[in-house]
Amino acid sequence: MRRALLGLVILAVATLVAIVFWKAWAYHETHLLPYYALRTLLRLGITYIICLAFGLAIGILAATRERVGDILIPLLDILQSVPVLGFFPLALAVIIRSLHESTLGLELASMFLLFTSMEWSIVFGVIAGIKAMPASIQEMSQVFNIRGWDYLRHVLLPSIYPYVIAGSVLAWGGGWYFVIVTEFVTFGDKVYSLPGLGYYLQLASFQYGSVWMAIAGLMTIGLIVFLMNRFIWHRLDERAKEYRFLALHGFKARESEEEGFWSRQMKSVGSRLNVIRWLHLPSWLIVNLRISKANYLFVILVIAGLVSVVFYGVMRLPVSHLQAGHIALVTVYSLGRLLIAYVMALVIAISLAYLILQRPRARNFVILTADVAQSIPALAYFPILWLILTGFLSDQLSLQIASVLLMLTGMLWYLVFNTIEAVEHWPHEVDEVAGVFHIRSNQYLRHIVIPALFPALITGSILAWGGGFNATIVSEYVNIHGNAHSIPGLGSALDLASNAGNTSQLLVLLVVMSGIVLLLNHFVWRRLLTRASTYVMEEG
Amino acid sequence: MSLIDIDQVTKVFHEPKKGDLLTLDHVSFGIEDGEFLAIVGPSGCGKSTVLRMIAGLDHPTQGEVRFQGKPIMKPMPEISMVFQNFALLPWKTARENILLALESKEISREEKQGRAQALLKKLGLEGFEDNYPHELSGGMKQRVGIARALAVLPDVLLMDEPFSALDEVTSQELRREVLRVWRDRTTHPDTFVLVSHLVPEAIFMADRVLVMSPRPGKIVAEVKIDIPRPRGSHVRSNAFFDYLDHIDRIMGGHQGPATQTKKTDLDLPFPYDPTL
Repeated sequence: MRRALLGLVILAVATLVAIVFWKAWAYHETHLLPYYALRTLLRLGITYIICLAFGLAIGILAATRERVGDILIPLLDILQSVPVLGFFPLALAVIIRSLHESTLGLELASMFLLFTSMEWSIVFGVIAGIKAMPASIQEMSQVFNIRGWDYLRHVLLPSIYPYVIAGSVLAWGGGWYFVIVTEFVTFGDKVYSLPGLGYYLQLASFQYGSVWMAIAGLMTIGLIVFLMNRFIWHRLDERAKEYRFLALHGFKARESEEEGFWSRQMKSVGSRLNVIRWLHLPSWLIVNLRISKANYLFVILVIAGLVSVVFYGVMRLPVSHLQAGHIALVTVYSLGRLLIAYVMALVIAISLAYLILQRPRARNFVILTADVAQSIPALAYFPILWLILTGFLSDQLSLQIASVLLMLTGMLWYLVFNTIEAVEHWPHEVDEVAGVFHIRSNQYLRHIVIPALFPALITGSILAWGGGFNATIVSEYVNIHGNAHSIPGLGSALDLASNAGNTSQLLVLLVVMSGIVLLLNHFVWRRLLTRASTYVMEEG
Repeated sequence: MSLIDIDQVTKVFHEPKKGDLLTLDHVSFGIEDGEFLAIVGPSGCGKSTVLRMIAGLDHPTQGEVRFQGKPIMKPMPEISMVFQNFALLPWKTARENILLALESKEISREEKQGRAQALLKKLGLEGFEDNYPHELSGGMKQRVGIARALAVLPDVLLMDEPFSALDEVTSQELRREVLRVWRDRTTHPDTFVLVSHLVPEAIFMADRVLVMSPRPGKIVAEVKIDIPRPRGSHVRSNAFFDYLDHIDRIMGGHQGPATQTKKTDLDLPFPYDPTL
């Protein structure tokens, strides 16, 4: 019965795939899909290797040399919280100009952006891994004179292996998100493109307006992401479990012998949840490493100094028409959109958590759906969303809705996975307490579910807002058949400035945006995070 | 001059929030070649800090720790250590964990393999050579830890609460095992230093017990244990309980009245912890 159902599902999916590709075949770019996939993978792969090398070097340095770490960790924290997407046009301009618009220059610009999106989770993984090494292991290495290469090979690298794998999974997630944008960029009156899946997707939506082609592109990305998760990351993560120091205490839990298709899928989601736990590494590090405010201040001052030097140089460039009032207005617009998206994401995440708590049977369905949905990079939805919405609504209204929805997809998964994680570790005595004292429905939600989810919601929110800001840059402005559509906002202002080739305006907007992110982090999230750490329940 | 001299050692830890913490206050004692020394004291008295200084892992704020008259600046090949939480690498088998300790030694591969195998056998780990730590029981993990410490042929073996992560039956088994190794004078090492918070453990194993006061740690008594070895049949003897009472009284005197009224369980000397 179950097998028959599975067969039916597979048949249906196969038919759908066949129809999509048959329709999309009319465009000759579809014939090149394998080539595009290869180029995108190569781009991501090379960048990943660079990230890994750089991350290991910097991470080991920051974690083992106290003085270096005091400066490096706040710096890394600031860099990772700044919306990198905004820097892309600028980086592109610099690199392309210096390399005379060669393909190599484009590739380098693209890899630079990918690097800035992939690097942080690896660096923070390395740092956290080293910090989590038991003190006795380091003492043991000293007592037995295990040093240099021996120490690196036998002790340090295996110790951080699980953290590096978790960081890598996140890095690839970020990489897939950004690779879509980097392959098709307008700067000034020029369009720069690189062959790849992102190029294919954008071509489908904005040049040909073909839903079939767009879906074909999405399916290809989904398939690659699925295969990589299944055959690379899942396996490496399984191996990483043996490398954890925790395994030393007590015996390893016996795992069930049953290895059906669904149980395998659930396991792979399970390891994903483990990965999600590492997502809050940066904030964890900052709170736990007790990096002094003085160091932070120092780093911020240095950055401010650098920025003002750049500004001084920029101001001597052709006049920029910047008005403080205009910038404030677009900032309010963008923040408004983000807030709407955030509230929607919050409601969805809490509802799903509540649903899983009330109906444990829904758990597998929710997790599997969320896992599949989140593995497709949110940016890939945008063109399709655009195509569908403009079929019914005016361009302006479509863009407003699409923009909020895209921000939602950029924010939602961090919240959903963090809350699911919290539900997985739900302290069931609390439910018993609720039962004994007849705490139900509204009160249950207000006094138990939300406080219990609070730490997860905060860490999820920090990541969500990071994702949201990145989404503003790509969601408030689209260029279709050479026709620009935009709605007022920080993101579109950035896009417009970069399209006009107005470097000074671009810089000012970037500083404003980064400033907002840093202020939010400092005054809202870090405080809530400190408070959340007192909410964490002891695991029984 | 003793084999190891702890000379007027003072240690101050700088805590960011609490300020300076005086952990050791002018501690002086010697460790003789060939003796089994135990250091006991309540938790936080700095006994582990003393041990870590001998291992070269920590350094005195004032004073000096010397091995054969020379100050100990960093870990030395003559001094080896057994760790409280075993400190085994989860990704290496029992044998590989032992071999790693020999990695930096300039001896042939065959010699390393031979030494590891001999020690695995000596500590009853035959048949488990190629098991990973997570496949071993707590007692077996510590056997690997002891074998690894012995593999470097040290002159001195330091043990930091080596049995406190194990259950009592396993602990007693391992205590006998350690004594067997110590009494086997044909092989290295012959000087053992044990840090423990269990007074009966110290009396059972050591020639000499140093008693430390709560922080700031000082040596408040030195007790020579004159119970004939092997001591297995003496753990219920009057002499054993006299030592227990004696040390108990010394430690109680430094802990306030509450612990002085604590009754000892005469039927079960192990586990017995006057600090509780």
